[in-house]
Amino acid sequence: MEACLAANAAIPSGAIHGRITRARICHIERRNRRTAVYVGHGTEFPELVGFSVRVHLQIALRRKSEFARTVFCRAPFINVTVGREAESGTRFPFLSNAGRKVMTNVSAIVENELCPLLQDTKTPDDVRYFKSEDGNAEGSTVIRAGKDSFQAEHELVKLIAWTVVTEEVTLVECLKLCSLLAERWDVSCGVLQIDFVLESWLHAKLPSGTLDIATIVVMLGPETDSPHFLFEFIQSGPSLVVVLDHVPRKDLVLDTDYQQRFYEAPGLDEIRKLFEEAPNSKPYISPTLFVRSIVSPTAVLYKLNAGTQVDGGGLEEQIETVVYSGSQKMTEAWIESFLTRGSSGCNLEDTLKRDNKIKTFGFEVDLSANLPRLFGKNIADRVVEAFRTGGRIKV
Amino acid sequence: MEAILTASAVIPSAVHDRTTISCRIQRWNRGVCVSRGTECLEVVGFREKVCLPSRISVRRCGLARAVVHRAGIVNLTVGRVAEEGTPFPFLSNAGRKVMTNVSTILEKELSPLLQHSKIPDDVRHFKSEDGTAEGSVVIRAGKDSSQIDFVLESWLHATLPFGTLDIATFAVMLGPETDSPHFLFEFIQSGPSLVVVLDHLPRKDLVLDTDYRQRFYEAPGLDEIRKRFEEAPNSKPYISSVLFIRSVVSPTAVLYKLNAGTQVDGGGLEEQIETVVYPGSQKMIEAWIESFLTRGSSVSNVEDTLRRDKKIKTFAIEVDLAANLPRLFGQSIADRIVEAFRTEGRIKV
Repeated sequence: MEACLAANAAIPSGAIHGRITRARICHIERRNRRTAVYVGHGTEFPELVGFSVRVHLQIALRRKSEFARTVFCRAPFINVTVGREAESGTRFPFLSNAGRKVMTNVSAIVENELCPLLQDTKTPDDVRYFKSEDGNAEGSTVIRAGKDSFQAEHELVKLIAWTVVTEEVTLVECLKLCSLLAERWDVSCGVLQIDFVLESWLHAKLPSGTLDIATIVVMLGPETDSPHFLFEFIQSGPSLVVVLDHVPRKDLVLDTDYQQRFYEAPGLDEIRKLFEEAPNSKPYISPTLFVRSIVSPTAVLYKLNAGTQVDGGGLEEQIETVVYSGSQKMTEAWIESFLTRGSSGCNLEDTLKRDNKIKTFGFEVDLSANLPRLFGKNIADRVVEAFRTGGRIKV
Repeated sequence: MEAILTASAVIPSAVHDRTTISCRIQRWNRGVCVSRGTECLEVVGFREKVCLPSRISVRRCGLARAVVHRAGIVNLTVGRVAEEGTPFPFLSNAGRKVMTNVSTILEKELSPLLQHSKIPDDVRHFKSEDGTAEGSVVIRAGKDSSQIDFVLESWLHATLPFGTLDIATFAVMLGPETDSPHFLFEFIQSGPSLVVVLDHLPRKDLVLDTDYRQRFYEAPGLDEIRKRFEEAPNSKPYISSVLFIRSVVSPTAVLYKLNAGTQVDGGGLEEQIETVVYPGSQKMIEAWIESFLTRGSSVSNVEDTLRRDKKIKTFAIEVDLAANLPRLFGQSIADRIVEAFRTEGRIKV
């Protein structure tokens, strides 16, 4: 015999929209007796009511239907153990609300501005989502390569052809249109060339607690000397490490104009100061010397702690106020640098060499630092391979 | 009528040997102010026997004797007078020990490679017109066959509205014959806080040349030295307000600000200087000497290295020296010092 129960349950903080994979209803008050009912999987949150959720369950009951109806009315105590299952396509599914807002905000800004310049992702499905064998760790890496001028030209040709066919233009008009379009494409595609945009997240349950790493990286090609963009959000337990930077393409000691152009004029140090002056924040000194040498002088490298408040509530607040606005400002400043302050690289070879170093010793090492021990060698190799081949410029 | 008074007084910490003392001696029930240039004759632990040689006029003889017995409370206002030739004369004992230790090590290892200093006397020691600031800059150029450009040793002392400022600096810059890093040590004390800058300045872009980083920063284990400062009590990272400084230093640079902590009398800071800064600076200079003598190799691109070194020197002149010296010492002294800096090294700027 089956009965449908609906009850309100309080969502533990930090839970997400999605599925309850395991809901255990612990005592349901029934007349005067309590029964523990264990319920299986795949139950959905149909609606979120404030901080409660209405749970619809199908449970097997031994007794008679009338009893079921009683149960239905009197199911006030529900302990909902929320398992977190990443849904394909849910972005940053394991972060808290505040953390996810931060990451999706930055992701949206980057997406908005750069979408026309990016190809569709060719990342294989088993890199777009992967899970360790023991189920303790999950992750996702999505890489979108920038369009190259060949593709841009290809699209330009398609656009012209379509215009000619549909608009029935004369030859003269067609030529004029061609040159206009070519000019526009040249401006938007010839100079502003992206290598790739990477978005990834990792979630792992470790003996010491949970670890969440969310990353957004934009690397540019040698056609422009604008800095790369790096954003890492690393939360483990009650502390959060934020890495936010415009990664320089040149030796700043040798090229003081570069420093002036991309770091002093845009006032990036003000953004760093926001983090410096936040309560419970202290500078984060990376254990890897290479990471210390690639970041810029105005890099945000800070560790925020929950402070003395219970529940990590203090940290959520920090994320909403400091990290959200700081990351937004930094991303917007980066977009502006990318669109308006870059100039054509004069030394393509050197720039390529340097970028390769950053890719291999910086980002690749960063990615593969955690992957093998959390996911095993197979998955780690797959992800690193996707990283190596996913950009416009191969390593 | 005259009387000789002696009394013991507790010395405030951070006083060094030669001081002028003005004392106020409590007598019976009334206070008598005695201001004098009296010397500390002997330091007895943390107490000092102060002899005020005569010249107090006292009204009654008997009272003078009573004063001798009852000269218990002495407020010492310590003035500091620099003696000609004393190295780092305005630093506290602990600070001076640190700086002279580094100086001695440098002297021992590099002396055969250096020419005599040709610094004019008025740069070797200078004083501002109003007397509130004093300083010294000594530069020794490297011999032609050495790989050294110059060794600089300097100190500044200024009495400012908010307190005193002491800056002591060591810098060794190398020529393009070797790719070994430069050496920089700055000891900046103002009031109860001390900023320490200790580094092997890289000659190359560390992103492009990962072998350089391995050779000069990872293999010698320089990060261990930095960690001691990081883990010291009351220390926090020092983030320079000048972006260039942030980019010129290495990834293992010691850039820390130490504070006196909650102890009165700045006693805590003196202890930090002795236990953290002294060994840390010694390790750093010894590691630098070793890198210089054993790990350098010839430079592949001399022009680039020269250009880079020139940038560092120009920056030091234009931003560091030229910004601070004129307001402390006036334009003419500042110009003299900048000129010395430009011309006294083996490689002219």
